[in-house]
Amino acid sequence: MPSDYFERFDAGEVLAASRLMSVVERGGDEAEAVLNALFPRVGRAYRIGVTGLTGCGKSTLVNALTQCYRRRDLTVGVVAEDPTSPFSGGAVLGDRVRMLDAGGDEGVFIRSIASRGSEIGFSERATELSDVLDAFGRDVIFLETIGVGQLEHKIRFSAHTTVVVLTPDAGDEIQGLKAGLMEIGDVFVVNKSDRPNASRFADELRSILELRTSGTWLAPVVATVATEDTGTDELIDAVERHRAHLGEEGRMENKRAASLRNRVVAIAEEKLKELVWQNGRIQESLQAACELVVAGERSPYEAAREILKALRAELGSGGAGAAETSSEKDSK
Amino acid sequence: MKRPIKVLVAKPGLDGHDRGAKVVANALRDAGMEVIYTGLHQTPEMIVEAAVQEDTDVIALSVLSGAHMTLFERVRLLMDGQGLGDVPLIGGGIIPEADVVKLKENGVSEIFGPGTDTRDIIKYIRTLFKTDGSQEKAG
Repeated sequence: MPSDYFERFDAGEVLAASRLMSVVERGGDEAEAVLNALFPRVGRAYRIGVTGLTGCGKSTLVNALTQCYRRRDLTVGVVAEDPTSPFSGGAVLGDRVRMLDAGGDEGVFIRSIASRGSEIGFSERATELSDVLDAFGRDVIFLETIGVGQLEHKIRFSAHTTVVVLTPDAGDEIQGLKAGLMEIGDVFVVNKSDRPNASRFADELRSILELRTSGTWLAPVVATVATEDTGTDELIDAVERHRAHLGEEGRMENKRAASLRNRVVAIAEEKLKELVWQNGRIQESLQAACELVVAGERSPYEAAREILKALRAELGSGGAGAAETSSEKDSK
Repeated sequence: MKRPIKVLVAKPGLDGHDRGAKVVANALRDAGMEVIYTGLHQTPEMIVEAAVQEDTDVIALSVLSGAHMTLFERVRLLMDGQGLGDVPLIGGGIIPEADVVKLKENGVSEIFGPGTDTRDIIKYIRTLFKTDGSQEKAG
């Protein structure tokens, strides 16, 4: 990695920021080094998560919101996710097509990423890329993700305000919506609200949200027709009201603390898993335990306990069977 | 950890026919690449801006309008001026053989004419980087 990337990044050079984002995307020790160096400068940007199924109009909405913020003279960053094909591992990242208003505007930085099949990994990567944009000085950052289930709850730790985008497709009942989606939204949008039953759908959504008992914020439901830029002013107002709500009674600080804690736990868990499974003694124990299970002499639970016994023995002995990590190799 | 090859597929200028570009985009996806598809009516400036923000490994232009000489030259110039001098520029569309020769003498790595098998494009892009379909950048 060229040594002057950080200097050029500090000077506001987009290519340097983009290349650092690529280093971060590749993961590993280099990515950590970049994120460590940038961490002191992370925390200024306001992050808005936008989630919803493919085709709900997320990108079109993000485009409209971006233009609103640009009119207020704020700079914007967008991290936009599209699904990786489970068959080929490739992806077509087409969110930029919906954001043509941003073309030629230096105040909008759009970075597209593919989900790459990794469920835990994705949200972390999107958060890391938004960290780079944050350190780069963007005032508002949109994290656009495909809402496919397990990932949704993670976005609430990466964003200050989470916007859930729904559409009143024919035949859909509110009851069919995943409970998780209902829990994480700070603002709900019924897009394509020019469709029939849109207002009934919105009303049903409001009644359900009124029953939500956790938290002090009643999530509003905003009706939009993103392609006609209808309802986007109301949407921005709703987001800004949530932002003001967070500004009271230390909620922002609590949210930040919870978010950072969540990240530390997630990263530590990944490293712990690696440490455990790469240990030679643990591997041996795993192999032996599995053979016993296959032979019918142990249940999977008994086998797992035996592996844990081996782990405790390893910890007691100071990790004699540990695999060397690359950073340990470097320090020798 | 390597990442898949990232290709920017763009249609500069007034040309409104994007079926070819979409066919190529989908073929590259099916070959395991990540494609940034920018859509129609892109100016050379917008195309290069996108390539910079996305840090793409290759830029592929589709030009059916006949304005290829100007468009390819402008994109190449902007790429060179914005730190993307090492990034290959390839393209396709309706481009006469004599112009293909000129383009290749002026910083365009390869041109794929109508009827090209997408497998040839995939093979070519892979030879620009590592042959296993992923790319490790030096910088």
